[in-house]
Amino acid sequence: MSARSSVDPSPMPRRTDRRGRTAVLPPRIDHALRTPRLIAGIVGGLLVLLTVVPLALLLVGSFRPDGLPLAAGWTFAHYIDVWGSAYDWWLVVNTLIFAGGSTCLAVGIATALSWLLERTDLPGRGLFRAMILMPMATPPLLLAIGWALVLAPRIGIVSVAVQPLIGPIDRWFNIYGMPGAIFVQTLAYVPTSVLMLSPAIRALDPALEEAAVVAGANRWQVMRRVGLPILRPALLSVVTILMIVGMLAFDVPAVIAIPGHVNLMSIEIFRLMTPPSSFPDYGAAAAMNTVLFAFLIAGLIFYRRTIRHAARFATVSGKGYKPAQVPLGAWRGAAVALMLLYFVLAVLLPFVALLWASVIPYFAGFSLHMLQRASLSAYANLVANSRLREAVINSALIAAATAASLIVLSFLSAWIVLRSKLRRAWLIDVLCMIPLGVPPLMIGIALVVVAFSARFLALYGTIWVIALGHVIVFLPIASRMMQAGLIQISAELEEAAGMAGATLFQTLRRITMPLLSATTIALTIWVLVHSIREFSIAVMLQSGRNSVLSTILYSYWDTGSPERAAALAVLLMIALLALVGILSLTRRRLEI
Amino acid sequence: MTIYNRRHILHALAAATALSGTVTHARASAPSREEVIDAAKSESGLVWYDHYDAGAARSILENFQRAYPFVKKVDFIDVPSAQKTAKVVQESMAGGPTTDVLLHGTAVTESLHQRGFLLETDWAALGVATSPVLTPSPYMIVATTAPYAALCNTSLVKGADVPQSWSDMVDPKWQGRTGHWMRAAFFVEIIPAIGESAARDLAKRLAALRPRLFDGQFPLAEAVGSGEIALAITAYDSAVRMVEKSAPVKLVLIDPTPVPLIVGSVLKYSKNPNTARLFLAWLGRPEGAIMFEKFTKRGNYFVDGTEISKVLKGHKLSYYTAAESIAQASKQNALETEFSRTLTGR
Repeated sequence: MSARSSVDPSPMPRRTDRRGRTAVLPPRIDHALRTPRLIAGIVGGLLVLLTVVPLALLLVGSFRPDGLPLAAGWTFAHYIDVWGSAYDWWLVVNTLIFAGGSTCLAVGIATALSWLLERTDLPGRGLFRAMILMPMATPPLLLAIGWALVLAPRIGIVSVAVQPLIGPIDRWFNIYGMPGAIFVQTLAYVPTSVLMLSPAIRALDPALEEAAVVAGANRWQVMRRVGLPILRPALLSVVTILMIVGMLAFDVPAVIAIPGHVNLMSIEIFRLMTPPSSFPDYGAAAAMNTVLFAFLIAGLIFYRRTIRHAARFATVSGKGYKPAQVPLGAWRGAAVALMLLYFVLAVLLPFVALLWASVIPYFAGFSLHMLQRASLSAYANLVANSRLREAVINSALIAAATAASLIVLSFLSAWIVLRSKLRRAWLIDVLCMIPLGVPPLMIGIALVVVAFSARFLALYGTIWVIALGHVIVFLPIASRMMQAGLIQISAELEEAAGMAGATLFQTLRRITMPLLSATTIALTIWVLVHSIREFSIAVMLQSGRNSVLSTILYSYWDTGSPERAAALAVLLMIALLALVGILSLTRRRLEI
Repeated sequence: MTIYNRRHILHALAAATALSGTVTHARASAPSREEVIDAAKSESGLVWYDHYDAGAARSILENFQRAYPFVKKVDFIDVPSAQKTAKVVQESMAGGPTTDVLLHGTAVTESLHQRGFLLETDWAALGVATSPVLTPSPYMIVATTAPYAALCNTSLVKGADVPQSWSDMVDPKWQGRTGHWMRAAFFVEIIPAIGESAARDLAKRLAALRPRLFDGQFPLAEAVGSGEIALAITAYDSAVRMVEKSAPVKLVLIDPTPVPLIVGSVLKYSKNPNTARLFLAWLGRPEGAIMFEKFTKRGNYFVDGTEISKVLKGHKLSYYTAAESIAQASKQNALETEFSRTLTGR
């Protein structure tokens, strides 16, 4: 094990059970925890409640005449109308282009950035790690609005600046269109991809690469035939998740794709749910959504086949290793420039655009005339808003509860899938991934049904029902991140602990969890940020007592106060930037 | 001289029968004004789900409380359109509680009535100047209207270029310089005045200009104000907001002006149905309608004293009555889908 191991060396109080083994828990509990079946049963039951219920409601709703699961009647009409339409199949193709394009770009950029951060002597790595994660602090809607303000053909900050040099910018690149939508969605994806790939890249055992070099492989061959195959589970996880999230994404398409006449599934689903003159067509929206399950199932099958021989991907083992750093040499400047370029594109430019939008009374390009009208009235309005203070506290509590719940749930799920050797352990993995194919609106509807059915729990209208919704929505990514981290830790470490007399609980607490600390911190960062900015679940479960920041921000934007939305986005970005920075530094100290 | 044939007589008889049935039904099931007020005094307040600026909505509710001081607590929950109907239906199916009052289109309101989710009210007893348009049925009242207008950026559209007709708005000279809401509801709402064929032609001519599309009316109006686009057909309230922000814009009312109706209804599974009745009746009277318009910029054309009723006086209007909207809901939805796809070039 590495000399920098973070395994807890402190002695524990000793108590001996009937077989003479030491334990820190009461014997019955300790015995129960030795039984993977019991853990799997409890976790599986919980996951069924959390994931199968929304899925069942979605599927049932797709066969109801009005699309809502508790309504009367059955029909196949939605499926016939949707999948019998050439237009809708064309939408699927267009959406695949959008999701596939942004996924490929994001994974490529994230792999390069992760490799530079984790495997090279890049200067200022700690700072760059925090900077790369900072775009997560920006809700995708505001990131898209920021970029629209930067590159809008006539009023964009950059568009106006470069016009004297190159003429109208839309002759070269029009932000409003498929390329612009892919570009902005890629920027939104990279932080999540980096969080999922970095731990895996960091934990690559250099001995494997050195062995390949000794055998005569060049750097490209080493990467292609040693590095990438070992990273395959992490890469597959990222690709599966980003593809499906991309097919449902609406925030970026709403601002960037719609103006450019780009039609996607998410835009069509939005149109079906907001008709100006009739009942929303939830049934057609649900039927259209089912195509995502085909991709989810395909992604799961690939993933399961890849991790079948999980031991191949273990790089943290009983044999010690020290992660090696590749000297960049003359490429150091280019690497730093790449990092800074990403930061400028993903954070600085949109932030400046939103800052500008927050001080002017209406959207306008930068001009001296508008500068004279600049004021901080939007910020003053925010400070005076008592609901906002309540929303800050609610958002923080929800995010903390969601993160804590997901760390436990995703760890237990990952351990069962990868370690328990139970025959049906793969079902836990499937259950964890189901929410990926269920739109947040439907998860919100499911929680309305559940909360009203179990009124004795008094959940509805509280922040805890929103936290529950967030646990469901973020479970797929949390489970994948945890699996990606666990798959790289060899089982022999836990086996050695067991042979030394440690109970299962001791082994998990003193061996496995410390080795997963970097993954846990990464997961915490991701969940905290996404929970604070999540909107769809929160708006369905609002009651007046549980308002959160995301719903207030969206309300400002959609009801004619873009300056207040921008001001709130600026403040949110600053706060989340600080949070991401602090947690990133903490993560660095816990690295193995 | 108008010659009445058998069809006219049958229609008149049907209308009279429906009306008498409605009135009878109202008398049988809707409480009187005193009963409503007494019952409202024992309720806990008012909960209102909708999608307006939260500050504006609270100001409206505070003014309602001044009119009815016994209303203890008012709560506005911001729920966007995509979620509003699902939330109300699911909560109602589960037995509530849900919002006390719902403002929505007539077709959606009728759908909720058919599901048994609405309560009836004697609007006349609550002081509303009833009419077949303002109070089309005991379970709905026109709470406000959302007319359309033309909005032009005064730096880009000057003098004789300022449009005076809807045809001017789709002139080829605006190629690449105009925008529109991604929903083509405007072209459906103008059909009563110009006919379906002319509306379809207008949609095609606008589509030929490759308008920049927006997912909401406010972003569209902001784009005109910023100069990103030169002009657009937009919601009147969005346009007024830009004028009030001193953006370089000009609001033009063009005949015929489409005036979609937004109706209010009381939910059966609400906690405070009687307070809800008082609120909607208040909105249906000048004092409430004026307050609603003051804060949301959306005025009720059918209530005297509102700014919009003065502004649109003398203009030719285009709107569907509630009965027409309900009868043609499917057709209107199909037309809107067709026109929306036309706008996106499909």
